[in-house]
Amino acid sequence: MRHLSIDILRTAAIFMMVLVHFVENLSATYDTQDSGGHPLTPWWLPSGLAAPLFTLLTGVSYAIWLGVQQRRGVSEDEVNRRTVRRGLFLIGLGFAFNIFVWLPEDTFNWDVLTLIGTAMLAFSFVRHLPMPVPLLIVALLAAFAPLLRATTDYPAYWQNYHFDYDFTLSDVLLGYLVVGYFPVFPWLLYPIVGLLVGRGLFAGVGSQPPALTSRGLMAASGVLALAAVASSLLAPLQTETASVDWRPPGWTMFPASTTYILGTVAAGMLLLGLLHHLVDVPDGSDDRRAARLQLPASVTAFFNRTSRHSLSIYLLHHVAHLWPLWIYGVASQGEPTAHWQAFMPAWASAGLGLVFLAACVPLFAWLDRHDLPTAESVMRWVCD
Amino acid sequence: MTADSLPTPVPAPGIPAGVPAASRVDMLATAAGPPHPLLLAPRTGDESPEAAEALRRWVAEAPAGRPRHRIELPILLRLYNVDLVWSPSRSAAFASEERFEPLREAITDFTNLEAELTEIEDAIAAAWPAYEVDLPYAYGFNDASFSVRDALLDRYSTVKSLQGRLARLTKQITHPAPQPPTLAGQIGERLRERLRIEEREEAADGELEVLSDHYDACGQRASDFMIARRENMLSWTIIVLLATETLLFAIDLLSNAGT
Repeated sequence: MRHLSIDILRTAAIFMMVLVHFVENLSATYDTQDSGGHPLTPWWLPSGLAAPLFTLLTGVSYAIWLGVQQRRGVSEDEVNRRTVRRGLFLIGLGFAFNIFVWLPEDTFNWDVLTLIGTAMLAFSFVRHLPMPVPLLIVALLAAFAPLLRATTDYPAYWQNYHFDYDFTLSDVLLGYLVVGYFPVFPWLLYPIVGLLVGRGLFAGVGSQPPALTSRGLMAASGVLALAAVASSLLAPLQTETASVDWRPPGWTMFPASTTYILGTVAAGMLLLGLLHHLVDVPDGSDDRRAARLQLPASVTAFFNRTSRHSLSIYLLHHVAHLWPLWIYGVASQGEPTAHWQAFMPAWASAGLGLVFLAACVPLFAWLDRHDLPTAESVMRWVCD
Repeated sequence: MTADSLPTPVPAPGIPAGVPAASRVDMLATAAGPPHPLLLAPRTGDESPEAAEALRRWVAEAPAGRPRHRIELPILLRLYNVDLVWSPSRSAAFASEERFEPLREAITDFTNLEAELTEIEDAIAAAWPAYEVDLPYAYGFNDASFSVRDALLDRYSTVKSLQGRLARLTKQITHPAPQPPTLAGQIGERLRERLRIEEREEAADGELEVLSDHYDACGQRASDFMIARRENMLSWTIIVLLATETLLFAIDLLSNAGT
């Protein structure tokens, strides 16, 4: 059974990701090349929620998938094997993606796919742990991330808002653990939080009610939001990279500051709780009409399809805007990245992003109709 | 129950036809449940067989809550010139007036005892379906069983409570009759025989032993599981902390190697 709340949130996450990547890769410095400043404004702030939401939902979906496997009577060994295979597949896909899309010099930039792959590997043992232990892991990931960044001299790895590393073992491993785009510290906490939330909210055993209600989840998100505000107020005491003035104090995505982590986890939990309350069918009912808020079938189908193909859309949208950019760069100046972030105004790249998203609707409907392979179906074929 | 503590006789309407007019109905207090009506008819010496039949019919009018192990009810007893008709819900007797008091005492004691035993038997019968369902938990306990822990605890408590009640009842059942024999003692003894109280008590005891052994085992498994769970959590907490420490050390090493 699909949960519409998750489909809507994943659609929102992938929409934000597409827009963010189109604008930041095609236009980030276009309007301010003379000043070298950042062209973005507060309206861009919600875009910072895309990656946290995407990774949080990975954990939620895994909890639901796990429940389905257990109800089908799949053995623990088989579940572990599938989990590990999926993790390795995503890590492999992440490296292939880095090489073919970001070009070989960015092989070890530690993008979101390698993070999700790592999370899958972690799930294979985190799922067996008693509840307080994953919470401890989450707390350790959040607490040690700033300390480790200080230890490793995080700013030294970042030039002009980009992760710049050498092909050395220490840089590669430190990138994976602490200083890359989406390092284990602290980004692994999002999928683990998602797993815990998913288990509580969706995976009630038999006739047992779920351990967590949507209201409880929203209340927890309120507490985290207050913690985020407190962390933001304490930001002047922090010695990390200062956030730019259009963001709340202490709010930085690269590196993921404590304020940012608390705020994005709170936002993700709030949205999930709210949507679960409104659009999901209550437990024990098989009737889609039992949901509090009815959406037209066509809208539900759209969210469902976009969510199911989110991995494919993630891969495809990079190919769609970066390969032409690299080819044009080679053709015009002999350097693939010659026009990176300086190719067109932000409004034009945002428009292109929207055009891409509009094109995805018929494209994936057509792929589904003809039962053609997508990244998701290949993953299932390889791993399940 | 002593004669002093017995309730004051309350004449009740509805004395059946054919019974001496001087008869009365006493409402005997029971430990639990409604009062037990006892019709006491004074013996005049010229009672007709119809009068005895009228008593039996009056008693049989109020059916027992449930059958008593294929024992035909009501029970008819003749002892020391007393004609007694007893059922779990109503009793009646022909006796001379000086024997009313021992009769009241005997009927009150026995009715309470029999009602308590019947209640225990009913509770045991109700426990068997759950016993069948709970059989796997006596062998092992896991995360999936966690949700039934409270239900198992409830059943364990119920069985232990029943055992306690039966043990207290056994003391009353096996208590020797007073010597020299009294009317109340003799009536109690005869009624216990006719209602097979001792055999029923033994059967109930046997059943409770099986249930008790089973829920003891469930409790042991659940307790072992909880202890193991706590130890598991502690072990994992230590492992996670050690892994974190190792990771911090490795990161520090890598960081120094990089510079």
